[in-house]
Amino acid sequence: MVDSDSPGSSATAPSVIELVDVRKRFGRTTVLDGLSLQVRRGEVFGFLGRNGAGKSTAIRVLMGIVPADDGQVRLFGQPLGRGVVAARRRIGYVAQEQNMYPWMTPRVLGRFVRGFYPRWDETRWRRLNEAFGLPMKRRLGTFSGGMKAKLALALALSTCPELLILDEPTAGMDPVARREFLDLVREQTARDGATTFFSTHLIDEIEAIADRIAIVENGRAMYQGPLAPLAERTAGYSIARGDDVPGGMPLGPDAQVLRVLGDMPRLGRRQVVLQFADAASREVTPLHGWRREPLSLEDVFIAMVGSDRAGAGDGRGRLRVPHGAHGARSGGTRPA
Amino acid sequence: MSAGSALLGKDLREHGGALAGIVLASAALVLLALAQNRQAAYGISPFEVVRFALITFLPLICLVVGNRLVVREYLAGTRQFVEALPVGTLWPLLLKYLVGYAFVALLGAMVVGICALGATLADDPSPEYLGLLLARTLVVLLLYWGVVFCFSLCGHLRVMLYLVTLGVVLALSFLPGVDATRFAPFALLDREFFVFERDLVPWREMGWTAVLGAAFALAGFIVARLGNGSVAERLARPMSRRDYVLTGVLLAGGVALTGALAEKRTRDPVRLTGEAVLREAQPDVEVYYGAERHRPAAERFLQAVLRATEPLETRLDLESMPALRLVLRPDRDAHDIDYGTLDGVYVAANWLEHDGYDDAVLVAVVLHGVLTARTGGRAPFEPYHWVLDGFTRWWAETAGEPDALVEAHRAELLARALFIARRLSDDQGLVGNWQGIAEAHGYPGAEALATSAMVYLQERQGVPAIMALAREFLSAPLGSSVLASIRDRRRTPQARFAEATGLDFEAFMQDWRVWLGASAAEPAVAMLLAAVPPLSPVVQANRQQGVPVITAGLVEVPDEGVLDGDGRSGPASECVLRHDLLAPFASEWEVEDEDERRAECRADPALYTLDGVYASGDRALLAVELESEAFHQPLRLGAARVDVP
Repeated sequence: MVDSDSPGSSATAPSVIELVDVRKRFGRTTVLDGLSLQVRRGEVFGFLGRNGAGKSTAIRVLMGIVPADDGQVRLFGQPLGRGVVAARRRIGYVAQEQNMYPWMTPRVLGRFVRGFYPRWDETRWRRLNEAFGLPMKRRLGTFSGGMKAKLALALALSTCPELLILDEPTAGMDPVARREFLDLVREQTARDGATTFFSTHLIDEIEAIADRIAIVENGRAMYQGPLAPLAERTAGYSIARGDDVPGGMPLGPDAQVLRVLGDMPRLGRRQVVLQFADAASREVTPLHGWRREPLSLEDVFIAMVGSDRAGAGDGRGRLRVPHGAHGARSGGTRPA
Repeated sequence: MSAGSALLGKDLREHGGALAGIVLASAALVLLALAQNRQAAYGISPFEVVRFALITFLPLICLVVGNRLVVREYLAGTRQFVEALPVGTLWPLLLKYLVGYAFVALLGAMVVGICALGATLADDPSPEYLGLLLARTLVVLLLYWGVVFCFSLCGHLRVMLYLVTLGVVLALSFLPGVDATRFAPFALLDREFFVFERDLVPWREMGWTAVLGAAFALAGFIVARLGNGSVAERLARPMSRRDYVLTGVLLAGGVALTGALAEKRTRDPVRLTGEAVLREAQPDVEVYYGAERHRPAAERFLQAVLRATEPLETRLDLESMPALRLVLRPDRDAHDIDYGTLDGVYVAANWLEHDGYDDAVLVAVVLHGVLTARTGGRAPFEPYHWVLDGFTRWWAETAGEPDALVEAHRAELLARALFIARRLSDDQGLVGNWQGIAEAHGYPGAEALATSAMVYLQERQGVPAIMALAREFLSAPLGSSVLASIRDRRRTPQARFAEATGLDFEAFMQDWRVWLGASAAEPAVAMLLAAVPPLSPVVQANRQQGVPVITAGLVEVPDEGVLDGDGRSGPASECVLRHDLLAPFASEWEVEDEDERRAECRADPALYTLDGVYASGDRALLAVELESEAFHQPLRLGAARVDVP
């Protein structure tokens, strides 16, 4: 795993979530394969990964819904064990699917849920429902997906949580509802200052709000750190098939290449995505035949998870790290 | 508000309406059953309704409750919502288990309570008895709920599991050689003991049933936690096409298996073995006589039985006759008869010293068994038991021939009948509360009374009316289904009597009583009645120096005759006190004669004393019977039940 902290991040703040080498199997399927990550108090943490990468299982482990087979899980500085109920009282949780009782109205739902949370804020609950435009006397069975997600957010925020966990809350929403929902999250998290753990497979959802992110693939964190350096220290290059030399790279040995994030054929050209140890290396002129390609964060994400998937198949390791460069500065790197 | 009360409140809000509806519907069903029982042609104990509820609608209610509380939570996925709330992993499920059981237990208690309110004095619903019934009910419901709870967590597999369970229960119920009523949980619902057993607490059966129920519940919790809940989650999906096919195959297999097993259950009757057996193929009769010297008596009795049974088969259109197994028991008294009707009719008696009258008594018992077996046990039902008693004796005497009744037999039968009729008020009627009459006046007396009705009916309407009456009540096999039972109970015996004989029932009863009274003028009848002392038994029970003492004796009945200064009438005769411990609900009129007290018949309220024979709290039946040369069988002067203080 690559861990990159920006100098400005609150690296000394206490951890709210800490997963160390967490493993989870369901039968023969390994879902979490040594997942390690750390979320600090007050930050908005983006938990990025493709569908089936292990995000929801990681959250279920975090919530104490399923126990980890191995590894350490710490919430609010305490090991998650017998104190799971007490820990959950401090967490506001918005699930991927809103399995709320369809016969309930928001009013009844609030009455039900407040029994579980000593810090329940009834005024806030009403205010949020009003602000989100949710009818208090309508049955939830008649709510749209977006309305249910807003309701779940209102519910989670009304518990006055120290940690807000959002598990792909916008899945299945149309673009308008998604944007509306994300705005609400942005507003509320900014207002409360609560630690937010936002799981998604859409990088643009967290691009604007996340202080740090973790990219998870095959049950492991591929990257953990701020989002900006990931974009700043990454560049894409391509070369025509005919000009390509097997094993050839776009930059000379002087460039501080941390690792190759992606190396794949695309539109008749070979495409390579490189991550650098510093932003300056990005400016090095590519070798003859290679050309610089514009790269979005999504391209970086695809390159990262794509390279991992390609490597996973042949069993030869996941990342090629040229020039002897290595990346892990904290959290450690598992040998491929 | 705590998490527990929030979950409880949620369940009540979600299911409260439906559960209240179930309570009301159950109460209505129980009240309807009690009302129907009260208005039916004949009644059963109101507490039978509790058993009825336990084997019919309470299991279904458990299914509905399980479906609402557990299945819906899993199928709709709302369990995942609760799962993420700050509450222990098993707590919501445990709460559902407790809420579900509390509800079905309250429902069971309500059913017992309503039945207790509807119980009559005869049912004697003491707190101990009600406690026992309630305990049985709650334990059975614990098992039902445990099964439903466990299967509800098995998602789409539950339908198949229910079918398999039903198949196992049916197999245990029908499998030959397996007496399911001997072990838990079936023993707790046994037809014979559920209502009538009140002294013995079936601790072992209740314990095993509770353990079984708890085991199912535990299995449910294990299923819920298997793979951290992932197994239950995977199972919680609607049935697939493959599941439906499998269920259909299971159902068809179950039906086929049940059919096969039900067929096997009709066993061949036991055959009497050895040399000393007379055998008749059609009808299937075997007579065991033990020693060669008893063979003539056995042949004589066999012929008497065949003379009665062969024409009966034709005249009553009986499709078949049950197998008859008759066993000579020379060690018994002449009128000490045992009989049963399992896979045929079994009679054990001593007929070595019998004359024609005694033979007719025994043949009537055989016919009693034949018709009881033929009607699947319906012939002896209370409202028309008198028809069975009267017809079997009449047929044993006459074989349906108009002038075959021996004059001496007729006189003895009428004398006995008249003695009873005089002691029954007009309000009581001659056949109302037939078991009560039989208890108070002895079975021979009741049989004679009923036979006199047949003799009168023959005189008035002829033999065809008697045969029509017998066909109506004694030969139609109604079957053992619930529908047959309802059909049987819907038409009153009075209406059925009128339909069969063409006579109004009440008018017939009055005319019969008048006719019977007039028969007192017949010399043979009058002579026999003169041999009966005008005495009636009295019984007192008290404690003397801490020991329960029962004092019994005889007092004069002025309307029936005159006593001399010593309280005697006519020639000296012997009066015998027979007594027996009376079980709750017991309505048998036979009393043991092992501990009988004999005394000369005379008016003396303290003729017999039972000192310390019964314990405090016992109930006993005491009967005083006249033993006289004039009568073949003892004539009961009266009987009384007594609660020992």
